[in-house]
Amino acid sequence: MADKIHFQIATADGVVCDSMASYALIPLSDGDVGVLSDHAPMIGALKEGVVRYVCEGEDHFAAISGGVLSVVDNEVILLARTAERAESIDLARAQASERRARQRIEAHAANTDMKRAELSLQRAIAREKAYTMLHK
Amino acid sequence: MANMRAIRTRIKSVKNTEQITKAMKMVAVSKLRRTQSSMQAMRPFSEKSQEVMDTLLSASSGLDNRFIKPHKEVKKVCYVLFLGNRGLCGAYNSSILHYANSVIKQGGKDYGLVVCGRWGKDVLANSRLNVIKTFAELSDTPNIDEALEVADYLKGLFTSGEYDEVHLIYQHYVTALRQDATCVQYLPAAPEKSENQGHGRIFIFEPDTNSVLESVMQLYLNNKIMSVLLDSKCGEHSARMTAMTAAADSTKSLISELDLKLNRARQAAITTEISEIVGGASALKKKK
Repeated sequence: MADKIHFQIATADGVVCDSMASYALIPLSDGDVGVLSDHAPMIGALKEGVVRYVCEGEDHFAAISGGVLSVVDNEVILLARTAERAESIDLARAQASERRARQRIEAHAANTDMKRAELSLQRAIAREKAYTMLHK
Repeated sequence: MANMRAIRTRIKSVKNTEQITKAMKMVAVSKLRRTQSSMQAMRPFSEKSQEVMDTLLSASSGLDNRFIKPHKEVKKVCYVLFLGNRGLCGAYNSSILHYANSVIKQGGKDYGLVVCGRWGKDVLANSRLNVIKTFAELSDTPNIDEALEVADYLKGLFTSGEYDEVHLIYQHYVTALRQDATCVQYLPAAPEKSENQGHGRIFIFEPDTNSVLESVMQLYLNNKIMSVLLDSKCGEHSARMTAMTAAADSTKSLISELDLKLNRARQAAITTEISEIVGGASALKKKK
C-alpha cells in the first residue's frame, strides 16, 4: 500500500475507473505528467488523450477528453468531460467518428462549429490510440 | 337490450384505458428509478469538482474567466426551458410554461428561448415566444453526451456575445408529489465556495491557475446542465407516475359505476320479461 496511489477517473455519468495503481501517466495541456506515490499536491488542466496507469504490474489505458486532474495525499482523481476505458472502446466506431470529424473539418461549412469538430476529431484519435496501445 | 350492449362496450373500452394507464405508470416508475440512479452516479463527480473549485478559489484571488466575467451591458437574455418529451403528466409542462412566461415578462428584456424537450410544438408556436433552438432529441434518461451538446451550445451563445445572460427554467424535483418551477442564472456563472475549508496546502497548478480555471469552469457548466436535466426528468417521470396512478384509479371507479348500471339494466330487462310472461299467462287463463 505504501507506494501505491488511489487512482480514479470520474465523469458525470459515473466513476469509470477506481483502482490502486503504482504509476499513472496523464496528458495535461502543457505536456504529459507522470504521477508516482507521494506526489506534491497538484491541480492540472487535462487535454484530450490517453491515460496510462500501471496496476499490479499491468498496463491499463483509458481515453479521456479534457477535464481536471487533482492530486492530493496519493489520491489521484481525473475529473473528465468524457472517459472510456480501452477495454470498452469500439475501434470501428472510433474510426467512423474520426472520418466524420475529418469530413466536417474539410467541408468547412459555415454552420459547423470548427472548434467542436476539432475536439471530436481529437477525441476519436485518442480513442483509437488507447485501443491500439491496449492491443499491442 | 341495446342499452346493455352499449354499457358492455363502454366497460371494455374503459378497461383498455386502464391497462394503458397502468403500463404507462410502470414505465414512468422504471424511468424515474433509472434517472435517480444516474443522479447518484454523478454525485462523486460533483463533490470532487466542488472540492477542486474550492481549492482554486481559495488559492488565488482575482480569477479571470470568460464564463464568470459579466458582459458590460445586459441587452439580450437567453432563457432555457426544460420541458418533458410528451404530455400525460398532469400540469408539469403547462405550469413550467406559465412560469416561464411570467419570468420573461418580468425580465422585460430582449430575449431568446432555447427549448429542451419534445413537448408542445404547437403550444409554443401559439404562445408567440421567440424560440431560437429546440433540442428535441433528448432521451427520457439523459446521459452526459446529451448534456454536453446542450452545454456547449449555451456556452457558445454566451462567449460569442450573442447573449449577455443565460438563465435555466426548469421544474425542480422536491418529492415525488411536488416539483417547484425554478429559474437559475447559468451564465455568467457565479461558482460558490462551499462551507468546508480546503486542505490548507499549497498546490501546484499545471500549467497555470487561469487555464485550470477554464477547465474547471467547463466541467462546472457541463455538470450544471447534466444535473438540471436529471432533476427536471425526475420531476417529469414522477409527475407522470402520479397522473397515471390517478387515471388508473378513476378508471376503476368508472368501471364499478358502469358495472352497477349494467346490473340495473339487466335486472330491469329480467323484470320486464317476467312481467310479460306473467301477463301473457294470466291473459290465457282468462280466455279459458
